[in-house]
Amino acid sequence: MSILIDESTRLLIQGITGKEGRRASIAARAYHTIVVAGVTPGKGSQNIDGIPVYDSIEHAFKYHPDINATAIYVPPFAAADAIREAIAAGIPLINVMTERIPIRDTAECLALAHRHKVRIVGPASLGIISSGKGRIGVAGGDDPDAIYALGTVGVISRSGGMMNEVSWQLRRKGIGISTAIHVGGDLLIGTPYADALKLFEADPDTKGVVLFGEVGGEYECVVAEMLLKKQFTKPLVVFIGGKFAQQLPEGMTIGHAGALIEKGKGSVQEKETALRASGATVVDRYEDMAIVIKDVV
Amino acid sequence: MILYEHEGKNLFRSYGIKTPQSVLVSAREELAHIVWDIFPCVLKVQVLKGKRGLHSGIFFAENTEDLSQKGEMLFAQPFQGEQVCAILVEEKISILAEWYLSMTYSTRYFSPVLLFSFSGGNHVEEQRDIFETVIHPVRGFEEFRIRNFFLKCGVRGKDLLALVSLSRSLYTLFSEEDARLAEINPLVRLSEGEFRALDAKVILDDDSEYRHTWHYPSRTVMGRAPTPREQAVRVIDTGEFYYRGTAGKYIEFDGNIACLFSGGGASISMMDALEAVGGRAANYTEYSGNPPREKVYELAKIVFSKPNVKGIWIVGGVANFTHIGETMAGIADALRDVAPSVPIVVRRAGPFEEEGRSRMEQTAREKNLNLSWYGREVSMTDTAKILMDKISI
Repeated sequence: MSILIDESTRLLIQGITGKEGRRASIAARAYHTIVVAGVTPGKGSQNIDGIPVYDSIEHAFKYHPDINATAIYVPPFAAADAIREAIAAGIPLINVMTERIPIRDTAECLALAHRHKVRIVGPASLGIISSGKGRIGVAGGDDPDAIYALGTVGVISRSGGMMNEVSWQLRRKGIGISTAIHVGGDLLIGTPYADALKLFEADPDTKGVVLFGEVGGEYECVVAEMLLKKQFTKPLVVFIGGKFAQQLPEGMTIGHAGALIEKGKGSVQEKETALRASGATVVDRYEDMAIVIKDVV
Repeated sequence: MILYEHEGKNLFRSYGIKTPQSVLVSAREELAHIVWDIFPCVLKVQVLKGKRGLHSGIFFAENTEDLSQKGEMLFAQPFQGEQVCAILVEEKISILAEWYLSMTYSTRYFSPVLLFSFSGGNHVEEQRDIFETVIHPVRGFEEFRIRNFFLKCGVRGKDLLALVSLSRSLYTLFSEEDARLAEINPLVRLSEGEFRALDAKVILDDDSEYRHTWHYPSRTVMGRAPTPREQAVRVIDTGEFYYRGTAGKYIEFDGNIACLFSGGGASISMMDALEAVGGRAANYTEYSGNPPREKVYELAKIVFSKPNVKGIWIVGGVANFTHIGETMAGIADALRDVAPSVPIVVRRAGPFEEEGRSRMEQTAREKNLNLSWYGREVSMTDTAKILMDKISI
C-alpha cells in the first residue's frame, strides 16, 4: 500500500496550460499516473499533449466524474480562487504547488478545506510520490526509478529538494519507499507532519518514517505530543535543519516562509529535545536518517 | 518585512489604535529645528532590534535643550551594531499598568490568533500567563467571541469594551495590511477603559506585496542598512514573473566562506553543516525552483565578488527538476567573470548533471580555477569538510 496516491488516482491539473502545469502533467503520466483533465479559465476546449482542457472544474467534472485529486499550478495571485474551486467541487486531495501565496489566503483555504472535509497538501509543495504507483508533481524528476524504489519507509519533508536528497540517501542504503510527501515550506500547511504520520500509521506497508524538519513553527512539537499519546507507534527518525538560525534576529524567515525565527520557541534545539523525549531518533546529519532507519525496518 | 516602531504606529493610528503624541526626527540635523513642547518626553531610537530599554536606546528629556542633547547622543553611535535611522520623540504618559495584545498566525491552529496578557513589557515571552484565542479565518472577527475571551481572562467593565474594540482594530489592521504579526507591547492602561499603544511591532507578509502599495524604505532583517551586494540581489526576483524560480535571497555575514545553496531546506541544513566543521559563512544565499541562467548568473556574480573570501561552496541536493546544466551555466558565467583564486567545492546532482559538471570543469580549466565537483556519490554534508580541508592546506 501507500498513502494519498496510488493506481486509482485520477488527476486534474489546474493551470495545465502554464509551463509548470504542463511539465507536471508530463511527469505524472511518465510515472504511472492517469491525468484525466486540465483546467485553465479561458482556455477551455484546447488540449495539452492530448489532455483535454476545461474552463472550470465544473466543466471538467461533467466529462470526468472520476477526478479524485488535483494539482494546482497557478500564479500566487490566482491560487486562493483555484483552491476554493477545488474545495467547492469536493475533490478529496488538493495538492497545492504554488509558492508565495499570501498567508491570509492560505489560512482561509485551509479552514474551508477543513469544513468541507477535503485534504490540502501544501501550499508550496513539490508533490507526492508513491513508489511504482504514481506521483503528483515532479519528485524524482525525469528518472524517479533511480531514487524511489518500492519499499516500506515513508518520507515526510518540509523541503522539496531535501525530500529527493533524503530519498536518494535511503536508496544508497538499499531502502525502498512507500510514499514520499512534501508537505510544503510555508508557515501554514494543509497536511502537517502529524497528519501525514497518522496516514503512515494506518498504512500496513509502511514500517517506519523518516522526517526532514526545519526551524520554525510548532509542527515537530505536535509530533512529539502525538508520539507520547501513542498515535504513531512505528520507528521515526528525524533531522531538523536550521540550528544556525539562533544567531539571527527574531521575526525573520530563512530558506522557507515557514522557517520563522521566534524568540523562545520553534528552535531546532527545542524540537530535538521534545522529539527525543518522546521516543523519536534525532540525527545530526541528514544522511544518517538512512543508516538509522535501515536498522529498524 | 519588519516595520520600525514609528511605521507600525502610523498604521495603528490609521486603524484607530491610540498612541502617545509624537514627532519623528529622521536625521541628526533636524534636532535643531524640532517643534515640540510637551515635557517630560521620551526619545526612542528607531531600530529593528528589541530590548531598547535595556541597552540605552530610550532616554527621557525635561526640556528642549535636554531633548536635543539626548537626541545627539542617540544619533551619535549605532544601537547594538544597528544604524540609527531616526528617533521618535513622544509625550511621557503616566500609566497604571503594562498589558500585552497581539495578532499572529498559529501553526497549531492554522489560523490567526489573538494573544493577550496582563503582563506586558520586556519579559512577556517568559511569561506563562498569555491567553490565546483563535479567530476563524473565514468567519472573521466575531465580537461576542472576543468578548467571551476577555471575560475568561478576567477583564471587566470599561476595560472589557475598550479591549474588544482595540482587538477589532488590531484584527482589521492585521487582515487588511496582510500582516504576519501585529503586536502592541506594552499596551498601557492610563485609566479604566483608556489605553495607548506604547510600542508597535508589525511584520508584513512579503508574499502579499502584489496587492499593496507599500512605500517603506528598504531594510535588512539583520538590523542594519542593507549592504550594496544585498541591495543588488534584491532586484533579481522582481518583475512580472517574480515567482518563477527564486534567486534573490542573500544575507551577508562576517565569515569567509562564500556559499551558494540550492533549495530552502538544503540551505539551512548546510549552514549548520558548515558550522559543525568550524567554517564561517560569508553569506547565506539560496536559489530554488528552476531559475533561468541569467538570474543564477546575476546572483552568483554577487556572491563571488565579496572580498576576503577563503573558499567557495556551491552545494545542492539531487535535484528533482532544476536543470543542472542551465543553473551551472549561470554559475560558470559568473566564475568566468570573477575568476576567484580560492578553492571551490561543488556538490550537485539531478537532471542534466553531466552537462552542468562539464560546463563547470571546462570553465575551471579555462580560468585555471581550483574547482572540485562532487555528485550524488558524496553527501552534501561531507563536502563541507572537504572544502575546509582544502582551505587549511
